[in-house]
This record gives sequence, C-alpha cells and structure tokens, in this order.
Amino acid sequence: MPLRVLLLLFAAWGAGAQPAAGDPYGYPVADPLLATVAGTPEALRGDLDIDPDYAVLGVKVFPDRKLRDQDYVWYLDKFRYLLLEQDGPAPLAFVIGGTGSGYSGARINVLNALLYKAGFHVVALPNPTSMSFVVTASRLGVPGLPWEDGADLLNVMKLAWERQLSRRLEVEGFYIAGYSLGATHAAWVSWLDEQDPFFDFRRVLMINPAVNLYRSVSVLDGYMDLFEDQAEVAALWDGLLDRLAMAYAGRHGISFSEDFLYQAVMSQRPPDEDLAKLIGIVFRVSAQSMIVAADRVTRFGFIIPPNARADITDDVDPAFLVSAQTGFSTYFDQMLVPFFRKRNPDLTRDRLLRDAGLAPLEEYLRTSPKIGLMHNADDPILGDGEADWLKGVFGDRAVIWPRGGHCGNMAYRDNVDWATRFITGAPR
Amino acid sequence: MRRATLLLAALLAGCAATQPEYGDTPPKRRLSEIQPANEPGLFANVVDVYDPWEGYNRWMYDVNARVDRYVLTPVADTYTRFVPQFIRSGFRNFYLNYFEVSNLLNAMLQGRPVLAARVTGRLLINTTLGLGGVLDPAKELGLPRQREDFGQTLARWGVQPGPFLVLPLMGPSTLRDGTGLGVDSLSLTAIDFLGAMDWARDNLWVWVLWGVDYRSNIDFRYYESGSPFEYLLVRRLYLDLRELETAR
Repeated sequence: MPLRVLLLLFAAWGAGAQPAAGDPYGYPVADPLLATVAGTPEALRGDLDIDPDYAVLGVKVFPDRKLRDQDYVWYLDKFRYLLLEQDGPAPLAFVIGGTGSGYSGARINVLNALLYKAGFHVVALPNPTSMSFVVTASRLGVPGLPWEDGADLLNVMKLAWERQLSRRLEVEGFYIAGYSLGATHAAWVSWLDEQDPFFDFRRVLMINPAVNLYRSVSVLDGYMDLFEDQAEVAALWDGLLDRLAMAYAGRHGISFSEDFLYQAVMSQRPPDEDLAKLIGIVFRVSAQSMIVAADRVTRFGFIIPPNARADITDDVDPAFLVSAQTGFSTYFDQMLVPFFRKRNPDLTRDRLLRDAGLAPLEEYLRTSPKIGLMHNADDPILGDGEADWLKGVFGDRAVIWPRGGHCGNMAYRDNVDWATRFITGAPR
Repeated sequence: MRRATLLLAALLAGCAATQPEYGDTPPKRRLSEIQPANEPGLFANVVDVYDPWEGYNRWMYDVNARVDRYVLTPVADTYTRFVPQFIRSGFRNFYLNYFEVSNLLNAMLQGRPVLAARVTGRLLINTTLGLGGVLDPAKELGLPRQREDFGQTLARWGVQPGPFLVLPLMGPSTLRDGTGLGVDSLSLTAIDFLGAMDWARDNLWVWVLWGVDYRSNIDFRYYESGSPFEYLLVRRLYLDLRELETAR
C-alpha cells in the first residue's frame, strides 16, 4: 500500500487526537489502544530485515521432573529457545518476551531483528508466564513474582550458556533486553546476576516495562467489566475467531498470543470493535494458558482437581470453560498469594502486590548507569504517576515518547534508532 | 465399500471423548459457582461444536502432531533449506496446475459456468504458455487460482458438514469434507488428464515430492500455539474457515 494511503488511514483513525503541530515525533497513531493493537505501519518501521543463521535449541532444566500430565504435554520435554547466530565473534544479547510470549512472535521478533542487525548473537527466551516456561523451566510453577521469575530466567540462561552456547559461540560480553513484562524481568535478572556475578551484563535495555505488575494487569482485566453481558463477550470473541480463521488458519502457524490475535484484528482496517473490550478479551485468553499450566505443575487444585489425570483422548471442556473465566487478578488473589503465603506466612498480600514490579529495585535502577529505558507517556498499563516515577529514577537514561500505547511503536524507526544506540553504546 | 463405511461408522461411534479421572478432591474454582446456570458460558462457542468422535479425533490429532514433528517438518525444512525457491515454486505450480482439473469439475458440478470458464482458461494457459504448469502466467493475465473441492460442492448442494473429523496426516476436516477429499482423488484418477495419473502410479517419488512440497507450504506447526487447549481452538478455527470458504 502506498505510504500516502497508509498515512491517511492512520490519520482517519486518530482523528480528533492529532499530535500538536511542531511535535517532532512522527509515530502517527494518537489513540493509545489503537497503537497497542495496530503496532507500526510497515512504511514507518526501522530497517529490521535480517536473514540470519538460526537454530531452536533445548535444555532439560529438571531432568527428574515427572509431570502427572507427562503424556499430555509430551512436546514440552525441554526448555526451548531461539538462537540467531553471527558469523565469528560478537557480543551476545538475551531477549525476554512479554507476557505469555514465546521466543518468536511479532513483537519479540522486532527486538530479535534489531539486536541481530546491531551485530549481536541473539538468544530469545519465552516469558516466564508462557506455558512452555512454566512447565519446563519454573522451579515453583507459579509465575507472577518478578524476583522468582527472574531467578528462573537466570537459571536457564546459565544452563543454556554452559551446556550449549559457550561451546558454539565466540562471545564478547553479555547484554539483556526485554519489552513489556519481559523488561521488568530483564531488570530483575540483571540485579540477581550482580548479587553473584556470572554474566555481568554490560547493558540492560527495558522497553515498556510494567512498573507494578498487579496494577498493570488490573487495568487490562478491568476492560472485561466494560461488557454489558456474556452474550456481548461471546459475540466479540466470535468475530475475532472468524477474523483469525480467515486471515491465518490453513496457511500460517497459529498461536493464541496477544501479538497474534492483534494481527488478526488488524486484518480488517480499521477495526470496528471497541478496542478496550478487545484488549480485555485477548489478555484473558493469553492468561488462560499460564493459569492452567501453573495449576497442573503445582497440583494446586485451583481449576483442575489436584489428583486429576487427563489422557490425550479426554474431554477437557470444563477446564477450558473455567480457565477462560479466570483473569490474571483472580489468579493473583486466589492462587499466587495463597501459594506463597503457605511457603512463608510472614508475607502479606499487600506486600506481594507492592513488591511485584520495579519498586524494590528503585535504588539499583537509579544508580546503575548501564540500564536504559524506553517507554510511552500514554501506555495504558502505567498507573497514575508511574511515568514520572520512571523519569525521576532513570533520568537521562530514559526516553519517554509522547505516544505509542503499549509497545505499539517498538518498530517505529526513531525507537529502533534509540534502542540500537543505547544497546551498542560503550559499556558504562 | 459400503460395508467398510458402516464398519468405520460403528468404530467411530465408540470413540466419544473419555472423561478424565478427577480424583476425590474438587477444585477450588468451579463452573457452577462462577457462572449463572441459565447463561451461556464465556467462550462457550469454542466447545459447542458437533464432535461425537472427539476421543478418536483427539488421538489422531496427537498422532499427526508426532508424525509431523519427527518426520514431516524436518523433511520439509530440509527441502526448503536446500532446494532453491524458483525450483520449489516450479514444483508447486506444476502440482497445483494438475489439480485444476478437480477445480474445474467442481466448478461445473456447482453450476458456476463463469468460474468453470476461468478455471479452464487457467488450465489451458498454464499447461501451454506455463510450460506444463511450472509457471503461472494465467495469474498475471488476471486469472488467479481459486480452489474448489468436492466438500464445497456438497456444501453448495446443501449437505451439512456433519461431525468434525481429524484425518490421518491431512488433519482437521469434517465428514463432508473428508468424503469430498476422497471423491476428488478418485475423480482425478478416473479422468487421468494427459495420462499423468497412470504414469504416476509407477513413479512413487512424484507423490513423495508432492507431499514434501505440500507440507513445506504450510506454516502451521503442531503444539506451537502456547495453549493447552490447542485441539479445541484449532477445531473451532477450522470449522469457521470452512464456513467462510463455502459461503463464498
């Protein structure tokens, strides 16, 4: 599509909320929810074309772990990650995907390509909230506390390095980057690593992190309250599935990640759904897999009876229906908090809520010159005052763009330039 | 043949989904507690599907996934990696051109003369100018390919999809569409356009190459959806897709 037409389309969507004249930032989508879903128009993306040597590698993190559902998820036998390999020696960048993301997908691929282009070996990891991570790499099996998730990440990164990467790559220093929840995780991984230095990351790049996990998921979960009744939810979901079927089934791989569902939405331009409701529903679907995986690995008995045993031929409709009606906030209150309080009765719900995010790392983030931040002032997952808090903490190591929603502008050329400049800058 | 069909039906009837062992401890969160009894459940449209053979279907889906992971995908990936793009697209065009015979037959059976004429045009142009089908000049001339299978023909005649059915290797289908697939391959053999089917009978590699080429053109990978409910979601998407295709 010619650039002019695209720009016109975008202008039409954002009508009424156009950037003020003289605003130098050229990302065109003024509505943060539309930006979140639509991403960056092709013509305005940075140069992200790559043709790398790649491999999907796997490590067995818990060789002795016997799942009750061993046969059901036989394909989750190893923790799998993606390697994009440079010819010859190069620095290595770990990339952590956002909530529910695997090692590949529309958004994580932006970061993968950006870093590969900048000359890094790239090791892309699924987020600790993805089903494959929960089953194959989580020690406790209850994702949601970034210090626990960060420790799991650091553990698999070390294993992958010792068993595989160190044997096939020549590496000149380690870097780490993440977006969305993966950015929050990147900060924790770096901090945990410094307690007992192993990788000693030279630079840490955070893109649109959640400042407080619970606040962020409450915003997204809250979009479900906008529906009048269940019939309306069903109708919107129905339309989304039709779109998905038309655009993808039969021809392309499918997944039920946010990225993927958003792409389906955008196959009709402009989308006619109420975007807040749509984001709510997509978030609900992507939380479902994590919750079921956590429930099974721990045999907590949250949605599926603790002693249940399912065969591949079994009817699992009830588990599907209940988990589809269980948002992240419900999981937090009814599974995560009880689970961790049982392990340590001194923990309180309020304390877990407050700490699940970047707050405990404030001093570290303030004083560590190697950590950089890119965020958006209109990101819907930020609570009141959180953007200012980030500005205060990161100072001149932060860039807060005026718009872009949640990660909508990641691939926009100015963003790609800034991120590339930061991550390739001299070690500080 | 008829007896075999009856036998198959009887076998499948014993293939309803089995129930998990639930144990004696109930879960903390139960459907009856979170959902009013008279309201349709959230996302219920994913599970409200006519699938009386779910047990067999789920088993076959899993078998397909294993065969795909350990055999088909590695072969297809190797093919994509080592055979240059223009050769692969040549093979692909060749096979697709041959199957235009089937599209033509179905367009006629559906009583769509305009479509039948377009398909005939494609077949003639690509078989001659396109060097036996290796190239697709018809597309440049404004005649893009449109697949019409016997499942769609049956749909046009008012036949309902019937039960969901997972076919060996071919994957998600329905009783109607699976039957259609069988009829299409029988009619291709019967018509034996240019004597090629007769020739291919003694040249098995043609079929292997077709299979490899076919698989390499589908991005889908089993169990990469990130959801433990992949079967339910794929089933629903397949049925939606067919509904859209037959409504066209």
